[in-house]
Formats: sequence, C-alpha cells, structure tokens
Amino acid sequence: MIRQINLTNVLPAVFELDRAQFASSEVFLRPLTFERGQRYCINARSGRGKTSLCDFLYMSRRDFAGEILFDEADVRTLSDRQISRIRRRHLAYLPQELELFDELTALENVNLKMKICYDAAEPRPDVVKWFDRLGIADRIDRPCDRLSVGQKQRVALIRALSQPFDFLLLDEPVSHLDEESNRLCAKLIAERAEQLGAAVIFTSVGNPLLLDGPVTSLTL
Amino acid sequence: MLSKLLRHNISKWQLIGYALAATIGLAIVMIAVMFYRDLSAAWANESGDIQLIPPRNMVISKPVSLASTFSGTPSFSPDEVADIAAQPWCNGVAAFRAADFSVWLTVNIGGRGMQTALFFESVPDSLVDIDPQLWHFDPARPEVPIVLSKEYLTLYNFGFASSGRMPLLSESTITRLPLTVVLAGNGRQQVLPARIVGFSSWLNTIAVPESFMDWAHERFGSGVEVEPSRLIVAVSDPADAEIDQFIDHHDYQVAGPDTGGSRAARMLSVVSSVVGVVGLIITSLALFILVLSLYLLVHKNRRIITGLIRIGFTPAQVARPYCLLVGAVNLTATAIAMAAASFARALWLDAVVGDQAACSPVPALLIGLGLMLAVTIYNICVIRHLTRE
Repeated sequence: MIRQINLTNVLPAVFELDRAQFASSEVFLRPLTFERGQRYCINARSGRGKTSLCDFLYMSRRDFAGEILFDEADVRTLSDRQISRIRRRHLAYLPQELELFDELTALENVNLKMKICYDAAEPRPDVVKWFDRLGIADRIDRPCDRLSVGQKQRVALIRALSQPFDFLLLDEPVSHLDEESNRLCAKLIAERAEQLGAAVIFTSVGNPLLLDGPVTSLTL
Repeated sequence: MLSKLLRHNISKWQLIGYALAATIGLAIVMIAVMFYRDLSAAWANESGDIQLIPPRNMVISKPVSLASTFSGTPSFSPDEVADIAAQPWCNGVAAFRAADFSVWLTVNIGGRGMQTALFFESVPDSLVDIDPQLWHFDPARPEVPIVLSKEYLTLYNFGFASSGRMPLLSESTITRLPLTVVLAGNGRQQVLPARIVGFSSWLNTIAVPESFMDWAHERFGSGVEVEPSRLIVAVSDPADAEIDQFIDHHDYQVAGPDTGGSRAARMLSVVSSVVGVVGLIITSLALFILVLSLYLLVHKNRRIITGLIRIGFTPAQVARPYCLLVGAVNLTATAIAMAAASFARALWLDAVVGDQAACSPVPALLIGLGLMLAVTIYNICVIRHLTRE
C-alpha cells in the first residue's frame, strides 16, 4: 500500500528557465503531499503542465526537477518491474488521450487491464454493471474505434477503476461529458475510491469532476 | 487479448522468407560439416595410415638436374635449413643422415640366396612410430632393425619378383625372413644379422636407428660430414597453402604419398569451408531480414506496446509473445534443416562410406542446433531491447 505521494520542488524541465511564473503555484516548486483517502482537484489553464504532472506521477516521464516520493521511494530509482507493479496494484490512471486499444472491444480493454492486475483467485469488480451505470451498456462489445470520444472516456474511466489502487489519477476525466454523465462518473469514482480507501487526484480546466464532499483544490 | 493486439502488423511473408532462408543456410552449414567428416573418416579408413589431415611430417628434397648428375646429390646448406626452420608453418626440421659406408644385404628366400648392394639412412628416432623395444640397437647383441618403405616392397613384388620368378612377399612374411648385412668401410668389414621391423608409407628410404648409425659411422665411416640431401619437415598444417608456395618458389620436391593426401585434404578443406561459409552467409542474411522485420514490427506496433506498458505490463511481458513466435519459427527451421541435412547425407553415405562404420552425424547436428540457439538468443535480446525502448 502507498500512503503518501510527496512532491518537493517539482517543476517540468521545460519550465526551468521560466520559474517565476510558478511563484504562486500550489503544486510546483513547493512541498506538497497527496494522502490516501483524500480528494484533490488541480486547476489550471491549458499549457501550465497538468498532463506533465500526471505523467511524472505515473512515472512515464522523468524530465522534471525536484523529487517525487511514493512513501519513501524516489520514483527515479524504481525499476521497470517495480513501476509495473505500482501501476497494477497502487496507482490507477485515466490519461487525457484515453489510450484505449481500438483493436479490442470496450469490455476487452477493461478485462485486459484486470487480467494483469489481479491474481487468478482474486475477486474482481463487476465492471459490466458499471457500463450500465454510465449509460454505455449497449457499447460493451463494440470495438473502441467505433465509439464516440465521450463513450471512450467512460470506458477508459471504467478501465482505471477496475484495478486495485491507492491513488486514482484522472487527467481531465470529464472533458467530453455532459453534466449528467459527469455526475454519474463522479458518483462511481467516489464509491470505488471509498471502497478502496484511495485518494482521487484529478485535473481540470474549468470543467471539474462533480464530486460530492470535501475536495482540496490546488492551483497549478 | 495480448496476442490479438501484438500480432497486428506481423508480416506472414516476411516470416516465411526468413524461415526459408534460415532453413537453407542452416542445412548447408550442417551438410558441409557432415560431408567433411564423412569423407575424412572414409579416407582414413581406406588409406590406413594416411589421414585426411596427413602425417604432419613432410620429406623434401631438391630435384636431380643434369648438372647434379656430375656434381653429386643436391644437398641443403645450413642457411637453407635455417630458412625452412624459420617459416611460420614449420614446427621443426630434421635431416636424413646417409650411411658413409658400404652395405650389402643377403637374404635366403625359399632356398634361393640373394645378395644386393643396399643403403641405409637414419632419421630421429622420435619420427619413427615403432615400439622403442624394436627400434633399438645394442652393440653387445648386434641385430640391425630396419624400417622399409612400402614402395620398395611393392616394387619387389610387382616388378622384380614377377619378372625374375622370385616368390612374392607379404609384409608379415618379410618380417620373419632371416637377413644378413655386410658393412664395409674404413678398412673394416663386419657381418651382422638384421630384421625388418616395420614398413612406412611416408619414409621413402631404408631406415635404421640413430644409435646403429652412430655406432656404424664410428667403425666404418670416413669421418667426413656431408650436408643432408633430404629433410623431414614437421608442419603445423599440411593443408596450408603457404607450404606449397614456399616449395614451388624454391623448386623443392615433396616426396612420399603425403603430397596427394595433403592436396586432396586442402581441396576438401577449401570446398567444405566455402560451402560452410556460404551457409553461414545465407543464415546471416536471414538473421538480418528477421532483425529488420522485428524493427519494422515494433515500430508499427509502437502505440500498442507503449499502451500495454502504460497499463501495467512489463517490457518483458510485452516481448514474450514475439520471443515465442521467433522461437517457434527458429525451432521449425532447425528441425527442417536437420531433416534436410540428414536426407542429403543419406544420398552420399553409401557412395562415400560403403560398408565401413559411418561417422556420427551428431556433431554436425549439434553445430546446427548451437548456431540456431545463438541466433534465437540474439533475436530475443533484440526484441527485449526494442520493447524496453
């Protein structure tokens, strides 16, 4: 279990020569701790480094200054195997580009994720119900290249929720959804996070995930 | 699902092309090794002491020209001996030492006495592959052991004996004949018993032990040191082409049956090497095709591979289906190549080996297997490297 993610003076390398613009940032160039069980919304306009921050936290990029620790472990020192393990058991991610496999159906995309995240005997969530709750049950067996962007966004969200996690990282998770779909997604996210005792960290450009309850809002 | 994703963009024809080329290349390599070994073994069996890689001792001399008819036997000067010894292919030089006294041989064959003038030469004892107990001269109980050239016996049986109505002699018969030698020189003469203790196909002379030659020279020799007219040269590889070049350049002659054996050995060695190298080149080109195909495949599937690693697959897990595919193709190619090489061997086996015990094909098959194992390991390294990138 990962209890905390600690950031210390993190800044994308691309902004290294323009540090002054982040003087009032509540995320970059200062100490920040994300704790398990909490909810965080990171607000910023486009181009401020939201997706970069998500990539740093998801360990798919290392071009940043400062330090990111998963509990005591520096992300820069983790091996491929350790990173894969964290992605399967501790850190779920919904990327802005969704990154679904168009060659597979919606359900196959989710099942592929669950296949590597759970042991054979381990109980798995009933994801078919989630498709129903998010209003895309009729798209479950359709190849992803035949889904709309909004439908894909919900499939990608189900895929992220389907795995065990301590932190759920969502990069503009409702950017292609209407308010009703936003609320349906937020409810499902809140239930799943509560079930696992996990933290939810999401980014927003003015269309935030409509989570009920306390959310720590941070400006990038 | 993983296989379903990763098999996208796999070109069936590229794989078939690789498998075909790898099979042909590997089969050629194995056929070359099998052919070399089979012919080598057959040669050794048929020619008795002549090996495919013939004895590593060569007898060289200078040609007898019109000039030397009157000037005496052409001999090697100390400088020439040193020059030969300095060659990179030369492991050592020893001289034939001619007897500096007269020798007469008396033999009684079937009640008919025969006497003939003879000559003796000695070579270092280490070069005569005979039991040291037999190849020994003791002045206290003097009996002269002799090694005779096989060619001399052949000349006697098919030349002299048939025209002179003399009995034919086998090797085992002649070793039992009581012989007498008469040594004369330096005002002395002595009669000694003698016995033929062996035959040689490469020592083209009538050889006696060094110890006898020392003893006899002391008693019957003139005391004048003469330069050797023939040399025994120990070589590292009789099939080395540089030896031929050196011999031709100096107009030396190589005596004995080794010459043919070494030429044939060199021919076979060259042919087998060329065929083997062609096989290796084809296998390498096949490997090149496969590596290019792998680069192309990984490039085309970059989105899928990256996506899989981002959802939690390790690079090794992503590489596994490709490794299994390449392993299966290589295994199939190896099995077909082994079957093809074994089939090809069956075609020449009767003609080359005949009734003799056949050489084992296992080393050739193991070479093929080892080669393909190395290729597969290299393939897997390439795949894992590409997926990790």
